[in-house]
Amino acid sequence: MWDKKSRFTVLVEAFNADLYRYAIWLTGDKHVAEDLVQETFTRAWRSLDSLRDERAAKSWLITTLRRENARRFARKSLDQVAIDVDTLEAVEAMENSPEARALGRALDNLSPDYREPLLLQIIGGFSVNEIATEMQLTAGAVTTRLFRARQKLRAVLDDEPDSEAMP
Amino acid sequence: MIDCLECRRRILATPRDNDAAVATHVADCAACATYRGEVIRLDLQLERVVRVPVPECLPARIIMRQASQPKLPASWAWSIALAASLIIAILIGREVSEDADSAHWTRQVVTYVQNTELGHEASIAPGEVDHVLQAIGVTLDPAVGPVSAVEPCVIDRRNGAHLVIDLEDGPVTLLILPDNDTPHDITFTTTNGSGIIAPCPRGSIAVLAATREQADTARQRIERSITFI
Repeated sequence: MWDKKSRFTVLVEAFNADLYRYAIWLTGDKHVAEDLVQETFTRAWRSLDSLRDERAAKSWLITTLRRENARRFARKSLDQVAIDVDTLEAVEAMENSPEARALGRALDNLSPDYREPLLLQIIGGFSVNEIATEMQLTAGAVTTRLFRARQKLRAVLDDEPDSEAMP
Repeated sequence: MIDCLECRRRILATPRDNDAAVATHVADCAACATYRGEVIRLDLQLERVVRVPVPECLPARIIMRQASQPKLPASWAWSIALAASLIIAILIGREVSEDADSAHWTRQVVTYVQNTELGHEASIAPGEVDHVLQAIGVTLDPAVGPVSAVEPCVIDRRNGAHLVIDLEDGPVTLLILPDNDTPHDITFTTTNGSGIIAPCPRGSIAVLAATREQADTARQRIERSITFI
């Protein structure tokens, strides 16, 4: 049986990167993202005993992070901000193709309603039902948001009008 | 059997799900099969794009922050604070000059730093740092680094400011104390790291970091950025 510190360290090592990436695309600011992740793990430490199944850890941490982000908005009445230039530049440095750059900017320009379920799916590996639970939406609503999010990204990449019409 | 519209709707929502209806449809519809390939390619590209670089020291910072959290109920806090003060006093006794005033002053600063944890805000409101610093007649060049917490403080009945600055190698606690003079550098050690109290053109500053080296580097950077009005 692992002690609390060992369990915590394993969680930090396993999920810090995914949580940071999720936070940075959520907040648009690397400093805020890091604060959010740190606060998430601080809260996780306090209630680690309530995590009975390690397989639920990622979902549990994402839920905590989302609540922390909501608190941040409640405290400061913040406006949504675009992802900072440094982060986009880092993405661009990794992904040299014009298509990847366009995709990064298109993702950044998606409204949070569309971006967030997509990030939960892409970064978190969540199913539609898990996203629905996380965001307190119906599975149908999540499906629609995911569908529209990718449709908008494709429209940007294809340089086509953002249309829902099917051929 | 689903039609092209429904097939593509499902592909866009969950491109990599093993949806039997989608599989059956794309087996007979070349256009939708191509469409599915394109969406999967988009997803693979998305996976790469979202993988922004993660700060290397993030796990260490998280664990360090957790380690600095209070572990005992509040009823124990005073006992712990008293014990910490005694330990600090012993450490200070080993490290600093025997000057009684300096030792008293150092104890005040270190006890404050040891026992005061700022509310770590996700972000500081614009102008908040300037507002706190103006009250004590100080300005700080924002180039010093991102300030993640700031509050006025009172040490030894004199006003100051308490900040946390997130430097590249970790967070640094800074006390700016324009009304508290110190004749020379005083180093100290706490359970949270190493620090230095340094004289300034007016008053003094105290810098606490994870290591002595980080505290010294941070001190130099802060001294270049601080102006006493």
